[in-house]
Amino acid sequence: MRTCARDTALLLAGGFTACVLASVAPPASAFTIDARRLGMGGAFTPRSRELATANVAYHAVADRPSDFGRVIPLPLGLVQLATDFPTFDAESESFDVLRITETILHPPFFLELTEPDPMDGDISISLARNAFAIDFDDARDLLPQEPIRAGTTFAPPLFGLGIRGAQTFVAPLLEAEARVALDDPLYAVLSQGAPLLPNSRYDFQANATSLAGTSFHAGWSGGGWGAPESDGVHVGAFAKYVMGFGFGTADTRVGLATADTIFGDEDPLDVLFDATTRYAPFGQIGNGIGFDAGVAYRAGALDVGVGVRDIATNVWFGKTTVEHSFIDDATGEIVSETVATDESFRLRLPTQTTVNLSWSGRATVLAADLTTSRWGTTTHFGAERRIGWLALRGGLLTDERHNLQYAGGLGLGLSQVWLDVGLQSHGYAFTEERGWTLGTSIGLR
Amino acid sequence: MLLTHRSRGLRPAARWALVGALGLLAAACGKNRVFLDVDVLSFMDQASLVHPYDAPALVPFSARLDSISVNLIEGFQDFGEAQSATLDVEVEYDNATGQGSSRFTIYFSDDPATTFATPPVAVLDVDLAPGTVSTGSLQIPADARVLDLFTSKRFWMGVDMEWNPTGVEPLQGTLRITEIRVRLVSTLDLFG
Repeated sequence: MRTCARDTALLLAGGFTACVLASVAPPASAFTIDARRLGMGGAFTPRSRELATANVAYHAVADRPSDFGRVIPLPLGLVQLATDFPTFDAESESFDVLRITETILHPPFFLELTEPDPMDGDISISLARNAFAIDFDDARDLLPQEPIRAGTTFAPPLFGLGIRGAQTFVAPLLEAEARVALDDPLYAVLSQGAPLLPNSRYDFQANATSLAGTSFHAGWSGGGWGAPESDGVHVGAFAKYVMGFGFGTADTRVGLATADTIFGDEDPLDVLFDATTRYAPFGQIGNGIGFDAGVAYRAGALDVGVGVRDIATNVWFGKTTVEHSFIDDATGEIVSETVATDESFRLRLPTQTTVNLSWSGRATVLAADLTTSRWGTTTHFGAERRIGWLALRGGLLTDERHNLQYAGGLGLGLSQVWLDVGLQSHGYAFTEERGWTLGTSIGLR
Repeated sequence: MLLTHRSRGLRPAARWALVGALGLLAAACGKNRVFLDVDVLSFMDQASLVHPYDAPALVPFSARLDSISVNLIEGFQDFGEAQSATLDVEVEYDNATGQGSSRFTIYFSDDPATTFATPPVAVLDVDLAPGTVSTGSLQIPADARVLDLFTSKRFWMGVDMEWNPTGVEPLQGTLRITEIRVRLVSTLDLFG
């Protein structure tokens, strides 16, 4: 049986991990099952299924000869994971919260070639009657000084029907969002080894929201209007009906207030803890509507598009349960109150805008895109040069922390079938070291 | 509707605070070494760090400080396994007159009532000469009992001081306690 302190540690570790995880969660566009796109820095190429998710106008844009009609991924990372699956048993010797976090942050669909620093460096704690400081070299620059808001939406079309531009399809929906903020004094204590000072206040705030459900899309996309090779303007607009099967939010504030003497005979610190959670009980289904729209323009080798997804998308839950947790001043225990069990709540999904630009020559493809939302902005740049049966690829991208990452790859083509290998770097969640992912897939033209 | 329940077995807020400080280090892999540097001297009143002494010739003189409370990190033992500890003690005698010796003894205990009944953790003997400033210091490893004390929430320290004049002049001067510090080495074990 675990001790209370260990439970507390797990709670704090989990919370901290979640916050860091949230602060660096990759946007949906960064994840791909296409090794070609991986090697091109994650940039969208015309007519890719992933681009059609970000810009519905691309449902109507015709394939280019260089585009793959279908991608069959070779998820070697899943094999790697299956042979060495991280344990979730906190009592196990091999339990590693870092590895679990990295596994979640960088889903091991493709092969992970590197491992992050185990962060097993020394931790120095200085303690005196009126001073307390922690110095952990590995944690420097670990925590964000500025408040960070990040999230991801995963909603790829699964299947659908279409006739003369009118289409309908179904997509799963996973949405997660978090915001984490440390005030400057607490940031200095945790990240720079600054001592706690008497008569001071240290604050931490974290908010998180998650939603799981499905969406039914109906709309129209078309364009070109007689222009050859799908040139011209293409537009798309879809309405969606969203069903939310699971939903939860948490708003947590933790404060530390020091007195005249930090390690005096009374409680060393006054802990301020206030958390409000809201969730839809099992069986409560949320309903909502929203819209996706996009425009794409093709002129010869040039493709330009602007797509906006989740315009005015709200999901309404008729009954949610609200709980409030705080520290009881009299007992020092955490007390939780259920303050409502039938309160309605409207969840607004973030609007995401994607701008893409590409040039597709006879043997060369250049592509770039930018995705922005209330979670921030990411950019991708990629290039491909085909020489007979060989395709050479490269790319650059900015990650969630605005660090520059690199990509490269090659493809080997035989008739309509291409074997693609892509290599892309990424920053590890905790250490910001550069890691490398190797992806493989088969493209069918 | 207002339903209230208390979380099972959670401990007081003070515990949460310091446990939380360590919990935030959960980014570590859980197998790190933790060096806990405790400035024990800082828990003593400034006035008790300086002790004038005046021992008549050939008559031993002694003084004792009341047990001093040293507050540490609550719950520390739940996060790590103490491996070793080192105690550093330094005192300075500004001896004006007389010849003799001095003994400086430190006790650590988990009970203020029995502090001076426990085995001393450090005994520092210093020879004194007239008109001479003498410094005595020692660095010794702590035993298992002291390891346990330094991973607890609080312990008590007692100090005994003795002077033994050996000459015909009275032994007069000032004792300054300049360092009492413990460095504890433990292995972080958040999840084990």
